[in-house]
Amino acid sequence: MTNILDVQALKTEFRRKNTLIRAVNNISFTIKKGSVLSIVGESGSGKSVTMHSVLRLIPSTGKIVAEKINFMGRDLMRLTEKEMRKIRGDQISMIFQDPMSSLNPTIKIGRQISEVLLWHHKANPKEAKERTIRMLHEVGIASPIERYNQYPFEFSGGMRQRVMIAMALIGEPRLLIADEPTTSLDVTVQAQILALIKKMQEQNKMSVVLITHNLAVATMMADEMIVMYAGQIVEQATKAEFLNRASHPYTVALLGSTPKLNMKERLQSIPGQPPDLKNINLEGCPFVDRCSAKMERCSREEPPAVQLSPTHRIRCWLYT
Amino acid sequence: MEPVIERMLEVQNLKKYFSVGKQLLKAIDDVSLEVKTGQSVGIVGESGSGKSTFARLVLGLLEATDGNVFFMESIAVQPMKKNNRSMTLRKYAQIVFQNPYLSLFPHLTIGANIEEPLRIHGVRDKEKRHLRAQELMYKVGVPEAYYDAFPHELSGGQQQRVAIARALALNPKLIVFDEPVSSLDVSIQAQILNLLLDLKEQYRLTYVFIAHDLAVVEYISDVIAVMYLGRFVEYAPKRFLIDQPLHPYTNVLLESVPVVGGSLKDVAGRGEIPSPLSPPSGCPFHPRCTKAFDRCRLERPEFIEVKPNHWVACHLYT
Amino acid sequence: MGEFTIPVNKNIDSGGKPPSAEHSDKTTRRSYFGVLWRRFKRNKISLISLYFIVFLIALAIVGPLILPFDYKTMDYTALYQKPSLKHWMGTDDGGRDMLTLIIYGLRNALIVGFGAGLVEILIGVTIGALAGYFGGRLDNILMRFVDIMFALPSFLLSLMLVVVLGRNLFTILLAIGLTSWAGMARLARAQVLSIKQVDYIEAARSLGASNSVIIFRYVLPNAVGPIFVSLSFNIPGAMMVESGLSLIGLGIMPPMPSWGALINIGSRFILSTPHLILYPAITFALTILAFTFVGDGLRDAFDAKQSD
Repeated sequence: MTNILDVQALKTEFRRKNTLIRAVNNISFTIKKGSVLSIVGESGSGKSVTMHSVLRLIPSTGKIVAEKINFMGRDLMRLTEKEMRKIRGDQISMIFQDPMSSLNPTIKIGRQISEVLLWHHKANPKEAKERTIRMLHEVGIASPIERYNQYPFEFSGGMRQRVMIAMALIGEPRLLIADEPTTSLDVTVQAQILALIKKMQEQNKMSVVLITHNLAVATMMADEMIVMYAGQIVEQATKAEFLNRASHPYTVALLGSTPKLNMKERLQSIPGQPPDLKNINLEGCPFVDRCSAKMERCSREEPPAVQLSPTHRIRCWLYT
Repeated sequence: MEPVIERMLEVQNLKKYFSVGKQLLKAIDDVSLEVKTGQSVGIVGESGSGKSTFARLVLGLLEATDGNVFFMESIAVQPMKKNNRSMTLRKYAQIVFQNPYLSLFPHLTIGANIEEPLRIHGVRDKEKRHLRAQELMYKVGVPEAYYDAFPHELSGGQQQRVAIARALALNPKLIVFDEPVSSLDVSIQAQILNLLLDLKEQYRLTYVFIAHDLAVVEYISDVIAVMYLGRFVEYAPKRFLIDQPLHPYTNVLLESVPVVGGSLKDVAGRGEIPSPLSPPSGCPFHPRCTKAFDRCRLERPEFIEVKPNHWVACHLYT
Repeated sequence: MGEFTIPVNKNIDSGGKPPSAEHSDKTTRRSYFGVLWRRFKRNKISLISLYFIVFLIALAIVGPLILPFDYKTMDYTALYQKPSLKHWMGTDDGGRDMLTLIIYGLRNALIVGFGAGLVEILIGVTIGALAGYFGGRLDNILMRFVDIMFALPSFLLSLMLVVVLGRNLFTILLAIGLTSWAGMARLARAQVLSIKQVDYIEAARSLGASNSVIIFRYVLPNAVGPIFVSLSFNIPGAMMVESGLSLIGLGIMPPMPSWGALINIGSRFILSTPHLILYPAITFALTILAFTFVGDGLRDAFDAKQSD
């Protein structure tokens, strides 16, 4: 299988007053055509900034450096802003956590969706409307013809997220970035939306990057997994490897601290606080303060990338 | 010696209606519950189920439309009397909110925040308050050096620890938690949940634990009540509720809990919680229920005890 | 899970470093206002402006005591003099020392500005806070009254009040204060309304705090930010109303100088002796500007999202 996206040595830094915040610190990963990659991390892990950097959608205080960001044979780092705009929303589209703030409250949802097609000159107005109505039906919105002419406030939270998905998918993108798409939704609705994203992914044979803080959600959707901590990838693996042999102490601890039904034992908790990117230890491993398996060298030397299998890589001194 | 109190909290036919324009919103509609001393009762529900309103009603922060709430057997919380602030209630019943940043006093230091309940309850001795605050900070695991910090300088997890310390300051008997961990990171969530379990054991506390996440509720609680559109639809000891759920809604909730390594079940078509302003006729869950039959559309099922201590409101069991 | 299991500390952990080293220093108890002051200091222009205002206040107090001239005595031997060693800012059309007049004008402007501001705060915040906190009928009644006050042209109203009450410093500041508190009341109400919604007020109620404790200890300290910011813009506003009144001859009674009157007179001689308008106008503008900059600094300092 070929890669749809190949990111090498990506760094994103923000400068605030006199402090340098390394939000994404030298990470490399690939996404295969037609597969789902889940990026898991807690706050400050850089999971969101990573994908925003790929799309070059970060605040002006930020700086992106990368060896390459290759998307379907083109290096996104070398494209002009105008060329980037053609890619965003067309070949790569995004859905966000809060569907209400991503939709324009004053424009009927049908028009908001069909405009995507018109911007990218993919259809004439009549076709655009037809395709929009078909898409609304696809994402599970009942009576799409009437719904076409309604405003965002007339939709419930789950329905709005369906509208967002319709809008993201109408241009038939090759890559969908879903940034915490179900975090603000109720659990029963979350399950429906995840199933919908999976269905659309399989149907359109597109690739999906799912950004989430929820390990369970991540594993349910993924073909491949990435775990991030303090701007670094600490573990990446296929789903099967992840479920059978999760190895990085952070990943193991994160699995242990996720509440499950029918738990007999106590939750494992990770001591300490989420990383403070303003004063992160750049010498050693960023997780060292919270790690229960830390060794002396962990706080002095940056852990190397260790290949546990061709597809399973972690950054930890334990496995050297 | 204090008399032994068996029933920490009794809720009888509690109702809370809000008028929204010309419509009536039944946020809580005829809910009864008994919380025994030392018990931990979990209330699980999705947004719009009325669970937060319930928390405020049982603590007398909101006036009920109808029904009774008794605290420690003798204190009538509802119906609320005008201008009667029961200091016993305020001392022995506490609440911890979802967002600790919004629930801490932003203009007071961490130390002052924790000492505030003591001030309100007339502890004048500064040194005594200070010592108590330090003791509580130690108990909940907030470094002493934070005493003079302000809430916004702490991480979310630390803020929630401070909020818990503040709730413990007066040696309460009952603590109501309203989504206490849903705004926290997973690793911090586990810390706080374990802390809550430890504190409960250490101080023999009684908990009412409200959350939308069934796995979290199960971890903390002994018994679980499932709330849907302002009513309980199922109530049982957690073992029975999780292993042998009776109500179809409880089933949907259980199936929807994401599981590490689990597969995506096809739960599409089950829709969303309807607006409480226009609840469906009959059983409020019937439009989403795969087992609904004619009677469900017409008649509201009673909440009945179908097995010992296992209550359900569903026509499948009548 | 996997073949590797890592032991995890089950103790209640604490972890994390305190925000900065200074907090561990027990001798320096930090206060809310200490933090505000530290944040305010970071904005240099605001800080300089604040020092400037302090200097002006000192000047207004000390100036009249040490100045060799007074504002009343005319000196017909020294009309329209250009700045000199004796008269640093020259003299006016009555031969009076301009510097003396400006300092007296400054004193009057500050008294009117702060006085009117105080009146606005007392009335506006009281009414706004009561309306916002208790809501319901009280809110309705109070806010309709505020609406009426808002609808009336405040300049004309203060003009009428001055005519009725007489023309001295106190009646003028009262007239300005009494007619311009409506905005403050609305602001205070909006603040109280939004703070009332925040969880910590509910937390205070659940802890047993009484209404008055809640208002004075939790609501108002968190509402003062925008109120002080607004005050720092209203003080120069009141000064301008006072000069406006003076400009049309209804301000402070001559010969007591007022900036408005000075500018009014100076404008008549703008071509022949420009220093008569230049000096009062510049000091006036600088003073107004300083208050505005302080307001900006306050707004930033009160913004809790800022880090320390």
